[in-house]
Amino acid sequence: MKRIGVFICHCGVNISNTVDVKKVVEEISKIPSVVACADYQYMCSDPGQDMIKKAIKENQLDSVVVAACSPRMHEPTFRATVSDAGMNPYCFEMSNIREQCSWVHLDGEKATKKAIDLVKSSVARASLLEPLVSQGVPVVPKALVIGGGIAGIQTSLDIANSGYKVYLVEKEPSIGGHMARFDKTFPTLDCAACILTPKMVDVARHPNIELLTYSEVESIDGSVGNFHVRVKKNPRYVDMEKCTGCGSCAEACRLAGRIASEFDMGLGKRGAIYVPFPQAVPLRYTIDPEKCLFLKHGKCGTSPKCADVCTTDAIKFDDKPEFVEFDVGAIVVATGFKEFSAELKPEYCYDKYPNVMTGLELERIFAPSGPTGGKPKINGKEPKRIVFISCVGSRDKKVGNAYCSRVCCMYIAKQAHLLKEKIPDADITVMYTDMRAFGKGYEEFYERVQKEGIKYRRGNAAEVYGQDGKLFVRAEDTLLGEPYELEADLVVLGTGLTPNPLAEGIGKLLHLSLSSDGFFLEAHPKLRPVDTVIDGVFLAGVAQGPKDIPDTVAQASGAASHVVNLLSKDEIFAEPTIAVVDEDACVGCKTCMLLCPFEAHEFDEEKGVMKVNAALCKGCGSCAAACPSGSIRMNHFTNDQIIAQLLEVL
Amino acid sequence: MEEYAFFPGCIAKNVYPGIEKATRIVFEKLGIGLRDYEYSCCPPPGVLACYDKPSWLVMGARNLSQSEKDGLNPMTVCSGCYGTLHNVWYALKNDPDLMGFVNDHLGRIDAEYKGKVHPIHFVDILKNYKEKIAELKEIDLGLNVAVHYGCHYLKPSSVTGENSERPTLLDELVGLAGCKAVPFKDGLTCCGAGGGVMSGEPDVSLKIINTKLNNMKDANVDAIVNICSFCHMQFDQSQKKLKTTEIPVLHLNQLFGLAFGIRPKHLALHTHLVSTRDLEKKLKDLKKGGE
Amino acid sequence: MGKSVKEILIDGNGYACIQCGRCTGSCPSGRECSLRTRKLIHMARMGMDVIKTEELWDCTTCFTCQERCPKEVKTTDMIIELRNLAVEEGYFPTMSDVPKIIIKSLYDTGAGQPLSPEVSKIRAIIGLKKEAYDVSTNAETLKKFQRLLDGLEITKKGGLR
Repeated sequence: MKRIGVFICHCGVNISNTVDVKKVVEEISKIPSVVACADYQYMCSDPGQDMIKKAIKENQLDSVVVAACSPRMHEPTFRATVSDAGMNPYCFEMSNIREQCSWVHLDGEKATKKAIDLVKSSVARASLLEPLVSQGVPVVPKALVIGGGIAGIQTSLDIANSGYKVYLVEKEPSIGGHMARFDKTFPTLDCAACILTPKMVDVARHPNIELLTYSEVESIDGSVGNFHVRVKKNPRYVDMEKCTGCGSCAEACRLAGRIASEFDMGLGKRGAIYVPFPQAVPLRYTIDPEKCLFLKHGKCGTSPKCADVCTTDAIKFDDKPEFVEFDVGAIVVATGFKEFSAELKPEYCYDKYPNVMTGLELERIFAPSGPTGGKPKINGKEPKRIVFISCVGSRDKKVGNAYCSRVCCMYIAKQAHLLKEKIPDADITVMYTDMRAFGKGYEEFYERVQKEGIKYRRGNAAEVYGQDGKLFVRAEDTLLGEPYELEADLVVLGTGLTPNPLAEGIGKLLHLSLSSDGFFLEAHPKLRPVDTVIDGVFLAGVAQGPKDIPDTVAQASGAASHVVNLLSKDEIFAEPTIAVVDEDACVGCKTCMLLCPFEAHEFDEEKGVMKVNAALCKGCGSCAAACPSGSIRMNHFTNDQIIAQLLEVL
Repeated sequence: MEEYAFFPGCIAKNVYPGIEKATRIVFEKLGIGLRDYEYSCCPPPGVLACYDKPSWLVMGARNLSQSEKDGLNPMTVCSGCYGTLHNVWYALKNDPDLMGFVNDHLGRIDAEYKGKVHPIHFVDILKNYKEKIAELKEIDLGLNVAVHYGCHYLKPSSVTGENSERPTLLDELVGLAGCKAVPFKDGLTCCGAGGGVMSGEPDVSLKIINTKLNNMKDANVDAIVNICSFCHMQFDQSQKKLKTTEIPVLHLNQLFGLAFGIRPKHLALHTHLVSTRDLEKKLKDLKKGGE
Repeated sequence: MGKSVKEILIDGNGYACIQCGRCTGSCPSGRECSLRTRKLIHMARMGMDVIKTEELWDCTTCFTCQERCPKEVKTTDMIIELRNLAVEEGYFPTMSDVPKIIIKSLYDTGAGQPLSPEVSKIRAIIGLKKEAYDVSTNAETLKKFQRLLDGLEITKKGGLR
């Protein structure tokens, strides 16, 4: 018979207020295999852990059960504790009598009985636990960063500066992301370009960074330490080596100034050959194959003008996609966001009137390189009456976005300030739901713009309507309890941030989960905000959830530090709690292969049986549950162990 | 032949019979059968549903049950009736307990509603007959009209499935009669009659309709076209009280009746409180011009 | 027995309300009177006497507020439920006789709006039956209908029993 030690935690009063801990000790001590049983105020404290270590040695324990909180909290702690005392960490079992018992029950007597049952079932399982050994896997000391916005840029620079090679993949022709579109940043009013472009240039020049723009990740295989990545470089139809970025091709293009510029949110125009913005990195031109006359029709006047004027012979109409493959040890997903589609709120008439615009569009109006040269003009005229509407597409279940986008209150304040600065006699009203100015210097900025004369009226806009060429906004001033209407020359919708639909494919490649808001799910909302449940894959920036620039940069650096931490190891040890195939019993039906969400099952053609890739398997158990021949065994969750555990509570 | 149970509702029967008549004519011409049943009042979503919701459900379900044995869906020409019957149907469909409650009551009079037939608004039938309507049209009415979608045909969209902010159906339908739907301010707002406000808070009700009528007047329309007998009554009766506007009021089926060449008197236009004489004269001139 | 204010709030998603006021701003009635839909929800949540307010009866049940609510609060549905509760508790702040008249007419004829002799004449002129075919056509059917109503609360509230 195994010799088991059981340790019951009071968790201060979290457990002991409801559960009679002494009674649990008394009952559990009666089990013959339990040779040591004790309780303590805080089992996870140093004295608590010492108590366990001492008991292991004194009683020559084979297994240890700690009855305390969720294993999500302290299983790693206690595994390390028993390991220190010379016990195999997989002979440790945790019983959750806090979240699953004391916190959810009011009746002390019944809770105590349930706690006893829970601990008994853990003891039953503990008596069948077997020692397991982790296997080491070597780590490729390189990283992949997906997305070249401020999050991807910061992560790449941090990793590269630590001496590791980084592949930075960006789908657009230039890095810079949304931040490159902004004019000023709140609350300090730093010029976005002034603080972003030096970083973009650093990325381009960094010896450890290989920049792959206008490129998409095609496939990712392997697992932590050893991912194999295949990237498709879309054809630019311009030779990157020869192009000097002089721009004479763009001037010469027959379609120059005739195609809506994506970078300018459709407000500005570009040609078929273009750079998205003057500070683009790399400053190399790209031909839009959907628009270019020569690429579409095989004909552009008598000859393509871009090629005529290019002095370095860089135009390459026969360009083809290229594929590059490489191995990395870690991946950072920094795929950013998409601005909320304002036409989904038809009551604001965004699609009906040109002087109803989104926050991002107004950014381009402000930008010196934007469609109006930085002058706030609408239809050629300076707007004098301006209404901002907050929470457009945020805190809005009707459009499926229950969350707060966290940046709109402040970008509205910033934009209102900038408008007031440029048009001092403008009458500016912000219609808001709640004011959220939570960051450093934000509340102060909110106060400042009100001093400047911006009117804040609590109560969000109900609708926008046009009448006789005029625009009106209806709302209730909820502080006065009065409905009112304002005429406006310009209505700015404080559009929120939504998950980037283009990131969906990346998520599938990496088997990432989404939170209910549609953004990528972190491993733990508080304590592991940059990790994912997939080892070696990290999150940075808005890909994980709406955040402002300071938070994005902080998370990007956090992700980089986790990557560096991982890459600095020669080898990593995977959890041994994985599926194992009994080759004698397996009939090779491949049911497991179809079910496995991690693609960990491979078919061994020679033997005609399945085998499990230990590095990919996450031990989820789907295969073992479905295997028709019962030939898959889950380490640490064997049928015997689970049944023994169940029998005690049934 | 496509056939429906005809639920005329109290107003179209007992106050504006021209609507009942117009409906019978239009549907006969379109070759759509209408069968009569022993219906009661829907009952009204405002007064009854607000006073005793369970009674409203039971009475609504009794009406729905009438045509169930024949498998005919009840068709309404009033959005108030539609609102009641549709909301009752929707509530019962999604709540077996409520269905049980309702049938316990219906059982007392040997009736039962199984949820097999569901109400339909007449415009949702007409929208499938656009070509036939165009064929049947004898007179291009050439009117500038204010279309009134009303509330309960469109909303709540979670129940009706309609686009409540940007509907287009009526604009298209009046076009088939040669009319143009002229946009006017707050085109989609309520007529002010529903929810028991017309009877309980007449001042508020009149203020709402007054604003609406003036918006229509500003758009210089020849007529108001509605798809709801209750809105129809509000538009017609309130103009008599307010005396600030004088815009003829037509139920969509009356408009189609006119376009199909039916004499205005047979559609009871002469019984409307707001005179339709100018409108009729215009049509007569049109007819002469055509001959 | 109807629902309590708390049950009405729970069923109507009222606790999701963020008091943004889009309901009031959308309200065609509130522009003409003192109805503030947002305020009704607030009062209900604060445990105030929302069922005693006269504004409760100014809503035309047009559903625009419910349609526009970003938090999926069923504002109009809740107003209807609150009115039911108000009636149950005996608060008819604007109570004219109209509802009682309608209920009586409904009981006697099956129609909320009864047929007048004038309209009956018009019906005949335009070629309709003098009286429409409905629940009152057949005396037996009307009796059954009345039996149905006898077992419902509405007749009590309408002062018929």
